[in-house]
Amino acid sequence: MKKFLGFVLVLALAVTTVFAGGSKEESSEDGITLTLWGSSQTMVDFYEETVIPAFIEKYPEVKDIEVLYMPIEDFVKRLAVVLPAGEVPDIMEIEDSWATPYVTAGYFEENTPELNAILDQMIPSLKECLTWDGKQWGVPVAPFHELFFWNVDMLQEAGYTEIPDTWDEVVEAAIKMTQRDETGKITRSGFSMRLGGNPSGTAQKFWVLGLLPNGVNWYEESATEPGKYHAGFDNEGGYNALKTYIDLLYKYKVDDFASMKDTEAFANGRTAINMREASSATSIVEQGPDINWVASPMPKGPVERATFLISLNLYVPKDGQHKDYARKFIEFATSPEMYALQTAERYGFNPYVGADRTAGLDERLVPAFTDPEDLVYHSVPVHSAYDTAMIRIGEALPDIFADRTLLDNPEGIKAAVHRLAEIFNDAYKEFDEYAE
Amino acid sequence: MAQRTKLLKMNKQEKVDFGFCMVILIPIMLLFAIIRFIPIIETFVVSFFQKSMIRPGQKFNGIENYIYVLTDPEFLKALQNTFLITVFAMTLSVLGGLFLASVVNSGRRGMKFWQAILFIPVIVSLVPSTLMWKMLFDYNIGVVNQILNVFGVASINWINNGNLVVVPIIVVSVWKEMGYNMMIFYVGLKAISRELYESAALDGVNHWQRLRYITLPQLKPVTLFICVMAMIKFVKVFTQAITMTSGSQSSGNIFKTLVYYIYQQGFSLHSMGRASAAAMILLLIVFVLTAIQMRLDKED
Amino acid sequence: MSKALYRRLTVFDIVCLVIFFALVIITLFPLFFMLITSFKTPEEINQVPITLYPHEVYMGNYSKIFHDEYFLRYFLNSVIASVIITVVSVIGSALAGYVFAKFKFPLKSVFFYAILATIMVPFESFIVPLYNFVRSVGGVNTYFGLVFPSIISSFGIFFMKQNMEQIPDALVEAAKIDGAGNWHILRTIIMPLSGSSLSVLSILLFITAWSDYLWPLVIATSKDMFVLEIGLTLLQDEYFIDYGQMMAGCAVALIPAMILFIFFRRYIMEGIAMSGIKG
Repeated sequence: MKKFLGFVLVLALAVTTVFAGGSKEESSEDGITLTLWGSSQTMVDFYEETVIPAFIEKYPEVKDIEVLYMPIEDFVKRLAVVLPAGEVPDIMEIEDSWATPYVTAGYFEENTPELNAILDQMIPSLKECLTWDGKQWGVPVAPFHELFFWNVDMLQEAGYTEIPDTWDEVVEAAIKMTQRDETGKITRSGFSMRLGGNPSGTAQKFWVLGLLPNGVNWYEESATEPGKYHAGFDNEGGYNALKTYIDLLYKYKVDDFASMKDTEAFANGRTAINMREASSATSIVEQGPDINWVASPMPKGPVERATFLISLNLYVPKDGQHKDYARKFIEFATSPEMYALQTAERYGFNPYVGADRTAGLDERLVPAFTDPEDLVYHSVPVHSAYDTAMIRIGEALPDIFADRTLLDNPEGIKAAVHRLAEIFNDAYKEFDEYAE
Repeated sequence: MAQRTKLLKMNKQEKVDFGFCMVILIPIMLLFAIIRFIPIIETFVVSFFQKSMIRPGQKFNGIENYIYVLTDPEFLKALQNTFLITVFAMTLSVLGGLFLASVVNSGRRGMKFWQAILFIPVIVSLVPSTLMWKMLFDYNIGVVNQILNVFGVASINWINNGNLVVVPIIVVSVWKEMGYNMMIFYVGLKAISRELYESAALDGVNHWQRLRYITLPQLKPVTLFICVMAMIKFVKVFTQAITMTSGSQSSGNIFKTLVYYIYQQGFSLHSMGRASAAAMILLLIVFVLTAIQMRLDKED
Repeated sequence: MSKALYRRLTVFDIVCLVIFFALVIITLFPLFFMLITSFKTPEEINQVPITLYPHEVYMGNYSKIFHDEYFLRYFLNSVIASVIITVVSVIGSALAGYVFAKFKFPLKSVFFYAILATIMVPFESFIVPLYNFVRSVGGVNTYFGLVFPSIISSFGIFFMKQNMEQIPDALVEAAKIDGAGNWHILRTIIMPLSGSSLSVLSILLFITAWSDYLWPLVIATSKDMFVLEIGLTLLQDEYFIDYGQMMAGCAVALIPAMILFIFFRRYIMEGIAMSGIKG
């Protein structure tokens, strides 16, 4: 027993020693230290290796910029507790759809005219999704659009010399490239479909692959009450969108719930086509160096050729300590020069109008960064209810996708779409943003 | 008034004892007040308000949050899922723990070593454990399916099937909890008097009779204690379920449990009022179940 | 001797032993699997059929982890926080356990059940008020803030109460008649007899503290204050779960708890026989 107590004592002593050592680090320092919280690993690397050294060189009074990275789920968890309490960084990097609740709740500073001048030089749709109540919040630092990754070897094996460009051709190619073992189990999916996991992600994929190509969007502005919305997909477009998914799963059987998914599948040669943003190529290059791939723009859908342009933006929190330097950093990080470097280093999308988006880009990505004339960019709307609606819809979708009886069942599909529309409207009603 | 007379009637020793208790208890209760009671009471109060997690301002709305939560199909689903996990994980981990403890207690050589081995899962963190099991249950590269294949059973998609994912979740939970229960049962078995067994042996009872008429009745209090603790743990199941079913690699829905529901209402949907109401409902459920178990204990 | 043992094996015993070792294997397999995965190359991890041992021993996963300059810091933070929490809450549990087990005073059961009820409320639901309080006393991004909410454990108090109730009242009474004070009794009778349950409790509370995730996540504002459990999730990037690296991280994370367990094992095994639950 004495031995035990002795051990405890020694431990306690050791702890206090380390304790004292640990807290000493908070000594006063000359120069300003900024803090930046980020939710994208590739961007954090880019800040640390490229942006920050250059920024400090330009502004020597800034001693350091401390970057804190966290995966998005944890990032959001943290924000919900920490931001309302006033514990904020100087600069925050977050995707526009995640930022909307905080923007509308008033946690960030409105853009200064200088920052808005940057916005004005970029693709207009980016500005739209940063506009709320007639003003702008945040500057895009890492816009990304959705594109298709193709496994070239599998394409050639299936007899293709060119990349299919319309949705029907994509489906045809996906069917040809799907492989099964003797039991019928898919060993290689023709097209990797997002069928669950994080709800917002599931909803987002359904949006860009289902709704937009069929000419509809989640929301539709009310004709009678501007500024209020209702579901815009409870119609033929929405029907076709869901039918596309159901057909891919149960008629053409190019993917199922069991197969390996997404970038992991693509980097392992387990899928022929993956839809994801360009920066996922960093993972493909790293994890699947032998994969022979090429990227293409989104195919032409039944109604339109659509992609989304979503962005990680830099925001200045209201309670930040060094707002001037935060703004200087934002200007610096979003300058055309930095974008040019980003394109080369992490396959970033240069949003400046008229900029050469493919300069220095990995050549396999060049086709996807060369816009076809009919490509339409869509962005996430700044509605308070949007985020909530997407989470609820994203939760309802997997069960609908898993419903095999929807195959060749127009009534069933219509009912499912209607159910989704009700979920959407209910969310908007809750935030008082709904009108017929 | 009765309390006061009691205090006045204390003799010297009792007064000393009372002082001793208060010297220890007051700081502890104060700490508890700060880190638990006050936050929990605040949660209780918020459950009657329409309050956003991230927006300032709140509005009293009576029991509306409770009505919303209790009529929300997602909540009912979470309740059902949690119930499923609790019942199976509790039963299996308690039975498994009892079994292991009785084998370990048989006094065979080397049993102390195996006992130590069986305790290891208790000390492994939950997230890594869950990821390990997720990998073992993976449809494409998982060992579980490869074993099934050896026996001629086709691979089963455990993780991405909303109805089956409960199996790996229960397995992790049981795996993690069994060693712990084994330890407590082991204590309980050690406490049973040898004489009881010896006299039974003279009467020539078999294994089943011994278990039925001596071991189990003697172990009842221990069993109840373990059941209460295990139930409290499993009703709050969260990490296993979310780790098992989230991430871009997952298909199918996230396996919602009550705590996940609370977490989502608060952290993702930012409705603090509803999250608090759901938490209070959870507290009520656990409290009632605990009281029932304690009551059953007393009745015997 | 062994012959005698052998002869006593009945069919029932054999069945029991078979099930027992099946459970041992099920217990060990994931741990074993974790270890070998951490030594596999990324290609081998995704290989089908799965390999039961690494075809080439690959240290890359470990070197990648330690390549992160902060990893040791996370590790150290976890050790510091868990040790402080364990030491303080074990002492608190022992004192409160003694009071609840051996004394009678007004409102005792109200106090006790209030403490017990706090286990039943999920932490997620009251994290916001708790955070606001800790922030108001300057606890953000400090070791104080990191450990404060776990500094006292209702489970620990319950556990120690149950165990100390087993100590015969007669021992305590006898000491009191001899004129021993309560602190003296605590030190000379209660504590020595509870050595084993204190060991068990230390392990359990250490594990709980070690695997705490949500609180360290919100309370730290710089990498300096991250704990290992968060460090492990930082190993995942947006597109890919690197299982090899993750399992290597897990294996490293296991070490302190293993050391502690081995250290305390003797006490647990001996002590657990003496402790036990009211009954």
